[in-house]
Amino acid sequence: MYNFNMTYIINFLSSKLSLTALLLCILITQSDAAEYTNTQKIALLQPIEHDAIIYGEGAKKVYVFVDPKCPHSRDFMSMINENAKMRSIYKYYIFFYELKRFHSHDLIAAIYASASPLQRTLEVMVGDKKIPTDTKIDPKIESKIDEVAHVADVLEISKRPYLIIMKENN
Amino acid sequence: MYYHTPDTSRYIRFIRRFRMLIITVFIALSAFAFNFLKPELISSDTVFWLSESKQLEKNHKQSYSATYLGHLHVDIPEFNTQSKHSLQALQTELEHIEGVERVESLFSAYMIFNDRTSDESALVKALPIAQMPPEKIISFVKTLPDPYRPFVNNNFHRFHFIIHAKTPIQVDHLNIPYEYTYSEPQVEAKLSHYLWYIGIIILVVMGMSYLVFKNFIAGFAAISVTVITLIWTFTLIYLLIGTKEIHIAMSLMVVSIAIGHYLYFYYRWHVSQFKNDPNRALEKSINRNLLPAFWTLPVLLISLGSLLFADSPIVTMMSLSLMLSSIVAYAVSIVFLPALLSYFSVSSPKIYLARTCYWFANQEVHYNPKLLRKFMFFSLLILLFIGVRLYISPNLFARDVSYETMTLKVPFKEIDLEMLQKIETFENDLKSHNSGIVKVNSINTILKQLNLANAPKNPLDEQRLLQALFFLELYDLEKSYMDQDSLNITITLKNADQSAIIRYLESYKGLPIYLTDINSLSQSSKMEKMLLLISSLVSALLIIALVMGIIFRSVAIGWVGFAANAIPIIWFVLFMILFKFELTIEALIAMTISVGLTSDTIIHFGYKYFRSRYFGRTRKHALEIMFFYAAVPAIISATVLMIVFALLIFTQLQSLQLIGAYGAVLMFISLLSDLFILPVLLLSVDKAKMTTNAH
Repeated sequence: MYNFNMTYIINFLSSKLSLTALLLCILITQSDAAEYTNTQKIALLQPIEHDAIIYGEGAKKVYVFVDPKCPHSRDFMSMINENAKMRSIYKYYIFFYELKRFHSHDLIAAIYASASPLQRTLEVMVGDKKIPTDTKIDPKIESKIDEVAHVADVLEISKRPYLIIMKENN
Repeated sequence: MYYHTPDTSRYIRFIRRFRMLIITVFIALSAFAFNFLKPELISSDTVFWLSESKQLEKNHKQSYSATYLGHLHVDIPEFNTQSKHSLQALQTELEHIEGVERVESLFSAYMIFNDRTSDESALVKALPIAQMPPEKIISFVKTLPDPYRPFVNNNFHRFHFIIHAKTPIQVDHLNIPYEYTYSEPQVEAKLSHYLWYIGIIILVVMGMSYLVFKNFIAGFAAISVTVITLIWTFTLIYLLIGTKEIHIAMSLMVVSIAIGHYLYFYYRWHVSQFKNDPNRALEKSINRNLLPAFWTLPVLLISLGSLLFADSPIVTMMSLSLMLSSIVAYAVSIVFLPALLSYFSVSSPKIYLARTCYWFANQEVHYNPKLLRKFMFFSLLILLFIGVRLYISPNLFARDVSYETMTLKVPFKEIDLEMLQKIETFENDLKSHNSGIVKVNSINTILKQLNLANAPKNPLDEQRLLQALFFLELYDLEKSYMDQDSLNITITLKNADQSAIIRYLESYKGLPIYLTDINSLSQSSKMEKMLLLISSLVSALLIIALVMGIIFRSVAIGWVGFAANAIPIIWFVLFMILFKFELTIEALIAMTISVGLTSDTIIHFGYKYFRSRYFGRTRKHALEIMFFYAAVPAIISATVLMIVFALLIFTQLQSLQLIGAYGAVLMFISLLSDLFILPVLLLSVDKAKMTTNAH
């Protein structure tokens, strides 16, 4: 019942403005819990799905936090790219979340700014392509990066790649 | 019992007159029957038992196929780059054999890890162990031995390959550059097994014929009678129940019965030739054996008849084999055999065992009744001990295996925490209730490994389970652990009692468990039949006693019939307990054969002894006659069958090896009982018997 209410409220208030307040509410209600339940994580991620780069056609959703310069993230993307079966089973919502030591903020923005972010992601992460990065970033893209980072912070994500998998019947 | 000698002179004249026709008819009928029957000689031992397996029926309902497991053990001098490549190549070669579903070994295993150089990755990696250099494999496996224990020994000199296949797999054609042993699921009685088995019988029969009778006529006639009995028995079985499959166990029963019957007739013909009158010898052969051999038929038919109504085609087939072969062997011995023997004569009918017979008679006529009572009391104590032992702990049914793999399937709808918890509980329960379980490999094992690599400090929760399942699919590891709707569990046993484990699995309530490997299914099916055969055996012993009591019109002889049949079995079971042999279906088959033969012996002994007493011979003389005319053929047939059974140990069919070993021991014990106990028992009831029959 509690989980249902949460999802319902999130769907009802799925605007960017209300999201921060909602996150705060969840934080308050969950302040004594060590980690979020799967449903709670999904509830946090669903509103930012539109910020993700989507790869794959599967029925199961996988939210993946990657840094485009992180070698493990690149390994992961290469594996997915090479594995058609895994793309047919899962649909990947790829969120760029910078690991500070890689200084990849501008690269993330450049990928978002490209005409085909997925194509560009694969070029960079799988093909190891060097792409130009603008110092001036579109505020919309900046907001997108912040939004993802915000949710990732709330979820205390420290690893890349980091996977959150949605159960099929969720 | 009617002891007067039947007048068979007209019958013998008839046989002699039409002997050629009789032989031709028998041969023609046998050839026609053989052609009509076209017996399926290459009958499968396992399929024989599986045909009525309840477990297999359960599997079929779920559309689960059975798996044949083969174990290949390769010994290498040293594990280095070269040997690693050879073993890796062997793995590939095995995987490409037709029918092979998968091959478990160190070279199909993965090292599951998380590259923790930065501690910032949640990416679990699965690296095929075969890709690592030998030194790293050794250090890795030594650090984390549990998952790899079934595949390699501690010093890396012995590697194990577990082959899962749809059909039995042979590895003879593979180029394995090291010493190896291969234990395959030996499911088919191949033509070579039958040829080996027929060869042994012919060789032993001819050898014994020459040794004992100094001619080859006995051997030739024995083989002729046995072959005709085999063909006719299996044709009759086919006509009655419509099955063509001939299992070696059944044919062994028929051979035993045929040789047993034949020898009484042949022996009497052989020793009656000293007056150089072939007619007289034939007459003696028939008129002295017609009645006792006939009375063995109702004993066997009534005692085993109840088995025909057992809810098991296998038990029905076995009892039919015994009953029909007894009837056929009798008919062949009184019609075909005299016609055949009428063409021959024996120049030297002397039998060297005769002196031994007189020695036995002299010794046993002065038996000590106290000693007999003590022996019988001791045997009774053993019987009680066996009964109590079976009641308290059914360990006698143990099937100890040194190294074995079992495969199971568990149906599932969803792999969730609840399902994993059930599997975990099952694994723990299985290990705590059974000893010798080296490893239980299931989806739970691999998911725990993946989670350990992902988040070593955290137990599996819903999200981690989903992540572990993700990596399972990413590295294509799920094929070994699950199918569309079932989870696969592999259990590795070392020095364990497989029967106890099967019983435990069959009665486990926490999960729906399906045995899928052929070996376990076959074992389970055999265990299903054990109780039926045990109860049938006990009831057969009692009925034999009853029928013998009625035939001889004496309660005392009924008692002798029961005791003489039961004593070898009681002592045999004690022998099994002392030497820790398992009570298998094969042992029970051997016991059934023994009961069939011993009841024949008891009737022949009893008939010869009491007939002599009826005509006024002294106890000693009666005993001498009994030993000379009944004990000698009993000794010869027991010796022939003991050698045949003992040689079966060298065949490659496990079921046959066991029947051979148990049969040989049991026949030896039965022979001792026939020579030392049965005559004394007959002497002990003699007085009562003679009073009952007085005039």
